[in-house]
Formats: sequence, structure tokens, C-alpha cells
Amino acid sequence: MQQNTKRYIIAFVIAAAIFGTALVVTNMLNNVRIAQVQTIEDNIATDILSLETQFELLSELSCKDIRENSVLSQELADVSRRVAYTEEKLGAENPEVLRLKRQYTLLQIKDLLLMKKVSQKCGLQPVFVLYFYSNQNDCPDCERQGYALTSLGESYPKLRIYSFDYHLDLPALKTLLTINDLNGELPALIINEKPYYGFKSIDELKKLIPKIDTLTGTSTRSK
Amino acid sequence: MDGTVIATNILLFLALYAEVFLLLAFLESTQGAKANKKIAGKFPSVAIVVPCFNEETTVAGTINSLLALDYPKSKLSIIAVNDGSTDGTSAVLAQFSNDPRITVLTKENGGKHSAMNLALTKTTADYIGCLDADSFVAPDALKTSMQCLLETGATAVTPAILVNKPTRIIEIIQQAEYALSVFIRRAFASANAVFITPGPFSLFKRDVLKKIGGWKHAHGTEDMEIAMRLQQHHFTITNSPRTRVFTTAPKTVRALYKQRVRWTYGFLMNMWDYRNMLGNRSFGALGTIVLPSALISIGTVLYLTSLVVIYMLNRIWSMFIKVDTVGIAMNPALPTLDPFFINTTSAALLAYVLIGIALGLIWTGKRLSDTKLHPAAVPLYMLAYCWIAPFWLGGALIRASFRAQAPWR
Repeated sequence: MQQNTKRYIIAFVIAAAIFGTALVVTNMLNNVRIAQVQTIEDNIATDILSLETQFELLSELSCKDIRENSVLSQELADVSRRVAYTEEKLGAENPEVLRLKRQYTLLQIKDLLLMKKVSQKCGLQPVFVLYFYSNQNDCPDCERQGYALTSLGESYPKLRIYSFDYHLDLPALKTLLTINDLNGELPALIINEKPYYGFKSIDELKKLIPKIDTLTGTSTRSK
Repeated sequence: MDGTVIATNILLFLALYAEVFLLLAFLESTQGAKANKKIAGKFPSVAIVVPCFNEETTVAGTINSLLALDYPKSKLSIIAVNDGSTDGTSAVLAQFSNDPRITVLTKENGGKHSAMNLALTKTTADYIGCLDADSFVAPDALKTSMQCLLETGATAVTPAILVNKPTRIIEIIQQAEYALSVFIRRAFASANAVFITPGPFSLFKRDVLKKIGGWKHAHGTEDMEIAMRLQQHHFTITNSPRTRVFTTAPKTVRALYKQRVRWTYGFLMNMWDYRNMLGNRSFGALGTIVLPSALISIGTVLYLTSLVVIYMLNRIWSMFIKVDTVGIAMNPALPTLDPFFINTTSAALLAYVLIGIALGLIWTGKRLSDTKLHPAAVPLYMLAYCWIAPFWLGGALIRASFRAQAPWR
């Protein structure tokens, strides 16, 4: 009986040690992941600074220079996928996830403002699509809308699509919502400053976007 | 952490604890084991019973393997019991009637337990064993089992059961499972927690069997019931991993499903019948670890499978929505190899550890029984069993809930 008791205890200690190691390793790997996310954040911060600088230099740059100069970091195309994965694994309330989403959202808003200025200065007629979604189970059509916009963006690279988490706590985003006077119904789209509510299929989107056939060239995208 | 994560971690910890406990028991017993000890003194007399119900295709091979056993002829008797077969079993058994070592008994069909009990009344051998009529023993099987019995002084001994000549995929898959069970039987014996004395070549002290009342009808799993009864009376059951017995494994998924539903149903019903042993410290590791773990493992498998199924259904639904929205992608994205996207949750890491331990245990079982595995056996077992086992566990659970006994065939 004494030998059995000893075996119970040793087994518990070993199992607890393995279990504890798994927890520690998980925590370490999550920290590595967070560090990677922080690196992306730093890149985005640099991009934001770059955008601000370009704003200031806008009057001194030629339209040709601006058009050929990518305003978004190369990592940005990958950011939304990493944010989504990190959000899934670490939880939507994780401070690092929230921080990254705020940074990412801020960059998109900055890019939107810059591109509007560029358009004014250079006489361009770009199409801006602002997509507001929610992942808090209050938007059953958001998943479907996301697929439609992603597909459309792949077919028309010059289309500038910006996606925003409607519930993200970010003053700049709240201001954007106020400016566009959204009524809370999701998914919501702003296409060239005109709001549309509810799911819009690819065919419907094509009808809503003016001169869509001219948007097939290469460009930077924010989604 | 939400409730699902906490529940998953608790279940994985319990599985880990049970695995570590058995591993410790196994290692402790192996350290003191004496290999290949000769039988000292007289060989005990042994009667091997072959209960047959419609086994015309395999019973001759079974009896021939017994006749080829390396054991003193005067000490070995074979009792073939034709349990009301309706096929050509009777004619096959008649071919052996002239052999003085073989006794053929014929009775109306009454089930395996009745065939064994009839044989029990007809023999005076020191030990009585059973060999299902679809199984075959290696020539040294009886000697190795007897050595084990005499060394340990146990009341009963179980062998290492291996799949006989696997050719079909489903048999190859079972080969890995049986190799794992070689380790498990040994580890259970090391912890004095054996609760099944399998039909293929388990040996018992005859006088003990008579004392506890022989075999009983027990939900189609008499092999389990008699082991539980022996344990209840605090008799020791050991295991001889060097005793190799080859059994005919189910050749189709349907046959495998039916067999496993019967086994699991029988386990659940026997657990109910012997529920006083569950958690009972007087039965040592059997009561406190092995039986509770075996019960919990059924729930764990069904719970984790349901989580995986829900996850997969969600993914399929998402894919359906995507295809419905944008059509089928002509250039679908390849799965990423970026380490960023590798699942490193604690539950996933523990699952990797458990899978690693299971692979080690299969290898150990293979070494213990000195058998070769088909190269595809382990990968197929790892890939396939997690998908098919939940079906028979669920099926058995439903049958047990309604007390609807699973048929033999």
C-alpha cells in the first residue's frame, strides 16, 4: 500500500511537471508571438510616421512621385491575417491584440485621408470602400461580406478597401463613424462617401462602384 | 479561460496522470523481472478449452496450434466444446477425436460461459485455459505463461495478443492497437489492475475458478466479468508479454464496429455490476486509477471528438459560405508553413505529448511481444482510430443506457 501511495504521488508530480511545462512553453510561445506582433506594430508606427511626413511634403512632391510611392508597409497585407489568428488564440480582449488592431485601424484611416488629398491634388478619381464589420456575433452577414470584398479586391487591385471593426474602442474610428453618420446596422459599406447597409453580393458591389473596369491595375490595398 | 478550455485541460491532465502512473508501474516491475527462467520441478497439468460456435473455418488451425505446443504431452489436454454449431464445426472436430489429448464435447448452444463451465466439470487439471476458436498460439506460449504463473504465484495469467496475418487495411490498423494493448496489459499487471482475462489463451488455477463459481453470462463479455470477480476476491492476475497468441481480427469496419460496441457495452455493464470497486482503495490501483480512468476515457474521447467535430463543421460552413459568395477559387491559397500559425495552446501541446507517449508505448508493446508491425500500421492507427472509435463508444453508451445488449455477430 505504501509503495502504491508513493507511486500515486510520483505519478502526480511527473504529470504536474509535464502539464506545468506545457503551460510555461505555451506562455513562452505566446510571448514570442506577441513580440512578432509588436514588431509589426513598430513597422506600422513607422508607416504612420511616413504617411504624416508625406502629408507635409505633399505640396512639394509631384503627382508622379506620390503615385509610384507605396504608402503602406509591405507587411500590411499580412497584418490582418496575423491579427485575426492572434485574436483567435489569445482572445479578443487581449491587450496586445487590441493595441495592434488600434494601430492597424489608425494606419488605414491615415492612408484614407492621404489618398483623398492625393486625389484632390492630382485629379485622380479613386474608389474608396469603407467596410464596417463586427465579430461580436451581432453581424451574421459580415463573414460573407468579407469574402465578397476580399474577392473583389483581388480582381480589382486599384480598389481601395478599408475594413474597420465597428466596436473597436478608438477615438479616430468613432469620429469616422460620426462623420459618415452610420446607423449601427452591419455590415455597413461606404462607397465614395455614400452608405449602404446589409450584405452586398459581388455583382451588387460591381454595380455600386463607378467605372470598376478601370480599377484592374496594380496598387496597394489595405485589406 | 473559458469552460471548454478548462474542461479540456482537466481531461488531458487526467489522461496524462493515468499514462504516467501505468508507465511507472511498468518500469518498476521490469526492473526486477527475471527473464527466461526455466520451470523448476514438475510441470503442472493444464487443460485448454476451445469453445466453438460456427467456427468451421478456423477451429482446426486453433487445435493444431495447441497440439504443437512445447509442453509435456502427458500434462496437456485439449477440450473442444461444440456449443450447438450449425455449420461444419462438428465434422472438423470429429477429425481430432482419435487423438488421446483431445476431448470433444457437444452441447446445445448456451453461450461461451456455458461451454467453459461444462469443460470445467470435466477436467481435473491444475490449470484451465481458454483459447477462442479463431486464435492460434505460438509453440512456446504455454511454457512462457506457466513460467510467469509459477514465478509470480498468480491465480491467472494473460498473454500478448497479436493480429494473425494482417492483410487488409483494417487489420493492419488493429496491429498497432494490439501492440499498444501488449504494453497496457503488462502495465495493468504491474499495477495489479488487470480487469480482462481475454478469451485467447488466458490461464487460471482450476480450483480457484471452481471456488468462485466458474464463468457467468455477463453482457457478452464473460472474459471481463471473470477477471473482475477474481479481483473482487483479491486474487492476482498477471501478464506474460512473451506469450504470443495470434487472433483473427475483424476484417471489415462493420465487423470491427460490432465487436467494439460489444466490448465497450460489456465494460460499461460490468462496471455497473461491480460499481463497488470504483474508487475503492482496497482494490489498489484497479479501483482508484485504472477503472475510473477507463470510464473517464470514454467520456473524454466523446467530448474531445465533439469539440473537433463542431470546429470542423464551423470550418466547413465557412467554406460553404465562401464558395456560395465568391464561387470556387481557381487558384486556392496553399496552407502556410509560417511557424506563427502553428497551434501552441497548452491543450495542443499536451495532446502532442500524449501522442508521443502513445507512440512510445506502441513501440514498447512491439518490443515486449517481439513482433513486427506493418510500416503503415502506426500512422494509419493514429489517423483512423480517432475518427472511428467515437462511433462505437457512442453506440455502446446508447446501448448501455437502454440496456440493449450488443450481439456477438
